[in-house]
Amino acid sequence: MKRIKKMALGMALAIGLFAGSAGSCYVAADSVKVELTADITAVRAYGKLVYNEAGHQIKVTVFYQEQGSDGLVRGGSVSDVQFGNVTTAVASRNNAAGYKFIWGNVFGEVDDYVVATSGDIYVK
Amino acid sequence: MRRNNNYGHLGVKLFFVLAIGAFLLSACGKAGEDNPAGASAPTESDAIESDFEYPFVAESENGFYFWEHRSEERYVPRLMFLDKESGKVVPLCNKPDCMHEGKECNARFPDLDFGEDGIDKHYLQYYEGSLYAVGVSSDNYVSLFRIEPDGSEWEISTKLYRADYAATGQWRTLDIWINDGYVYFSDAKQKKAKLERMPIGGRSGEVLFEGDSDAVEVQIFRIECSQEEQCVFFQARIFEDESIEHSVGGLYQYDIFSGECSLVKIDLSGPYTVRNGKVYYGSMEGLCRYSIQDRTVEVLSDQPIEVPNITLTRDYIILCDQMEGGDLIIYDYEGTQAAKVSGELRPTWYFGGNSEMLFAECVYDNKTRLCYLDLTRPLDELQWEELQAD
Repeated sequence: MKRIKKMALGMALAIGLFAGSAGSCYVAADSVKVELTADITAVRAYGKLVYNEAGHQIKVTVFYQEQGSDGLVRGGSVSDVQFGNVTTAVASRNNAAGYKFIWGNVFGEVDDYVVATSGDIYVK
Repeated sequence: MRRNNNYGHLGVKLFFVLAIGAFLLSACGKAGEDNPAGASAPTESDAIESDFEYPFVAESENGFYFWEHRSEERYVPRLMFLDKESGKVVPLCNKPDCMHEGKECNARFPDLDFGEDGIDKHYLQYYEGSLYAVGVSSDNYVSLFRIEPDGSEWEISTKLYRADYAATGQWRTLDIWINDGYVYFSDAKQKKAKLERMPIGGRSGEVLFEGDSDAVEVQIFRIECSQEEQCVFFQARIFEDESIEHSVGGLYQYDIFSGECSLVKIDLSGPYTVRNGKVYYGSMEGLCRYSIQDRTVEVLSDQPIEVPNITLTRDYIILCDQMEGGDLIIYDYEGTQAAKVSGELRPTWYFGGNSEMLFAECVYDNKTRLCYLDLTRPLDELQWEELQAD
């Protein structure tokens, strides 16, 4: 149980309620590895979620802010969702013309439960 | 989880009448029950004067609506309400015994998602007794969502244009504003964007502005409506080729009565605010005020300040230099600096506000926090504070 994340442990009871209606669900276990990669730079907002057990819905979402030279700030997001035997989800977006990314936060979900986050990332 | 599946107008109207009736009964009969937002529509005498560069906080006669900041502690932001009278901040939910944490809470609204109705947690506008947000419908249309002022129900109000979210999973905040019964917006995914408007609840719109036919790209941004001018102001940048050097930007206005668009000031593509026929903006010359009628520029303060966000209140011109550290500089209308606000909490995304309160996202301790600044305090005591639920 050493590697089970706090959030997954807290959701264990709720997961049990959904197991009957869903074809599969997220179950925390020592052998299942969750790996979240977040890379926010001025020119790219990138996130990758690896969940090395097939048969689940995995989703990665990158939330970002980008700013133009005219001071305008825009928020946005990019998501990727995968099912079945696919165990990697990748979401990536390049900066819009005239804009640079200034902030990002990446979230990874398995079967609609958040299993990993990057926290606020600021681009210097 | 959708609370109202009915997109039909008759069903919506009947429900709305019943909801209002039920709401009035509950408001009268149950003292002490949470009723955070009230439901009365603003009247002429209760005209709200606020100046938001980014309409992410909606002001009603009773308080302010805003989305929580998304964080690892709060993955799905709740819709919150700051009551003007009590100063309390609560989730927009009046369900009895609700702990405001689960999906059942009225303050929880679906996020953008594939094949489902979802709401973007940025734009909010209070208009004629309803709260409006924007998102994507289950059939992939960028849509205006209408939310009851107490958060109890929501529905799709107006489908604006076809989204690309289903195919790309991408979303970007768009410029949108409601005024005189219309939604003014620009489809940002078009390379040659246009300023369009559609009646609230309508099914087709009209194009108000588009760039020259030989332009390779057109960007539309910063849509603002001025009741006193009866105009919609917006900025446009028109690209002759792929290079930003070969582009022309400026401030335009759309006259609601004549239906005509005209250029107000060329090369004004930074933040601005219009009041009484004057355009306020920052530049390397300083704080400037441009007369639309006379076409003359008056430099109020010659301290250079590039692209600051601007808020006009009853008494002050407030600049937020978020690109250079987030200092707040307050001037009177003669151009005299009245105060400067610095501190540990510094805006990284300044929204605007009114004569009593300003709002911004600030960074502190390596975390982004939604903050407010109480303008009713003495000028030398002004400071940003985190906006948290009570």
